[in-house]
Amino acid sequence: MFFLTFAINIFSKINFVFAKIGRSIAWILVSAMILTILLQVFCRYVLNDALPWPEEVARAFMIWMMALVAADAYRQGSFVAIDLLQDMLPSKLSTALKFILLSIACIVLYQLFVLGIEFFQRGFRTRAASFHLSRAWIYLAMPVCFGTMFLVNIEMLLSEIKSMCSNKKTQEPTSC
Amino acid sequence: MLILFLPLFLIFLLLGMPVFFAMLSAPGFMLVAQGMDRDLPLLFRNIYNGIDSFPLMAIPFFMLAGELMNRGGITLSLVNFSQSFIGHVRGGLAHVNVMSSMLFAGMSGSAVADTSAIGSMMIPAMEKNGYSRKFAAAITAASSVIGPIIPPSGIMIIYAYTMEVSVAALFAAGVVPGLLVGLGLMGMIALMAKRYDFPIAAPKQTWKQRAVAGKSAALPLLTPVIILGGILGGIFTPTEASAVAVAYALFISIFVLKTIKFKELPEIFNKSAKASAVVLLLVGSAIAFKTVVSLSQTVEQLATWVLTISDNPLILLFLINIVLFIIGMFLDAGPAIIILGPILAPVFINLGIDPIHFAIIMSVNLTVGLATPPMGLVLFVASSVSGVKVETISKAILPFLMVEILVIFLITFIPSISMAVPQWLGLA
Repeated sequence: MFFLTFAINIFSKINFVFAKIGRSIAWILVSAMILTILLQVFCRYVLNDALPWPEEVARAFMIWMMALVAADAYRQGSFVAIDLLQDMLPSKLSTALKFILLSIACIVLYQLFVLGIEFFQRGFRTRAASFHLSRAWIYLAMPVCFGTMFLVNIEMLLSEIKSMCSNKKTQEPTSC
Repeated sequence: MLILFLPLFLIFLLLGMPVFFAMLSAPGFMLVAQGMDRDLPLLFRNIYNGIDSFPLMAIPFFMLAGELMNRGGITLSLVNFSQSFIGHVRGGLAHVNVMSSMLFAGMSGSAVADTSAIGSMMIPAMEKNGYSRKFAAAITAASSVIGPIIPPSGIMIIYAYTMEVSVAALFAAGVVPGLLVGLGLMGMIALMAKRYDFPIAAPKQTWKQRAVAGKSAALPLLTPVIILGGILGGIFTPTEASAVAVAYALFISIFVLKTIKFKELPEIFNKSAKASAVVLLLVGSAIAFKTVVSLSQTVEQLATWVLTISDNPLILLFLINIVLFIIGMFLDAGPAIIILGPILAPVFINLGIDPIHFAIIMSVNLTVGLATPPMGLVLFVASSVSGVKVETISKAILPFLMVEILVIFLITFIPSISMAVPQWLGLA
């Protein structure tokens, strides 16, 4: 139990740091997205000279914004699920069910992370259409997104195991 | 065999797996089981392609615009404006609640933002005016579903993107159904006002007083004009209009009303970033899911099965409305559209239903589901804003739900309700 608590604390700290970094960058990316789109509108209507890059740049900002806060959203239980059955089941069964679902989510996220790394590597073969940057640096958002979600999932899984061992209802984060 | 991903997906969903994981794990496992592992990178690529979309960027922006309007105290000027016109009739504040929701809907595309913005202001005011708290919470929840029906609408952006329909056409098609829901609710309030002797909120205002209220609400009321006028007039794309709406909301809140400070912006932006991240991942998974739907020929098999029930589109539309309503009780509108759109829409379009008409039927039905027990999201928000139990609001909301169900069937069987505006504008 000691090692389990220790591991949960370690993952909790790592996830907290990633969430803090994500939050401090994401709002800047949102601001950058807004400014980029407004610049596009301004250039097209006021200067009568449409720029070629704002749309692609704004999309890249959006993908990175999503990647940086998705794990935090997952940790806070913001992913939509029908948890009616889990609420109706006795606590032991409910914990076991959550454990199974989190294990499946773990496999999915690991697979997505691996596919994301391959995707990132393939990105070096292509460049963004409207600015001089390898697409890999945009694609990198995907393994970052799924990698950080994977770490959150491990923390949640360990918490569920602890809960099963101690036969108590888990504290935060409980949502699968 | 690949079609077995569908029951597996439903099992995962019912067991409580988040929709995002269910949409990826069920098709993923079936692909591996069929020895089609080589298609997994295709699935992944489609998640990315689903997210890497300019039209989808309107979702974080409209969420942000709604949040800024909410925090910026714009709701107060809308409520005052509504009250100056309709506060003097019996049941005045209940009418004001609905009218404010209709006005707020033109600025925000979210029922949740509507419930928390209007509810936190109107529920205490209605209680003070002599209404029961449960009634105030119920009418707030019921009227907030207008939010995603009257444009702009987050749900319609998701539908338009996943089903490749014009956002502008969907926005135009949502105007009349949204007004119809609002007027229907006001009709029900008028009936109840006589029976239960609802109070009058304020004496009848003169046109001069109304003009004063209108002047203070003028800037917020310009938002829907900018958004809709810009999109339907072909000046902006919906994404550009959403960015302009954010800039406009920022301008009003920071410089005109001075209700938001610069230091609050990171928290507000991050809140909408997180909510958007969840939606973007859902849409990405939906696009991957859609790939497997077409690989497995699910639509064709479902269409064959549906035709064994009846080949009359009207009967099938009636049945599908019941199915959608039941699904809406348990699942939020966005995920429900993401899951069901790719499966149901092609079947009904093949039966001769206009894609825009079907989109509106589905969107309105599932949006009303946001206010239905046991899992209606706005019921929970209304409960947290009012302090009334969800079960209590669920009973009080029933008369209003009846009105909304009636509107769903009117929209279903009178296509011109939703099709007239887009056809008039040459969008459908």
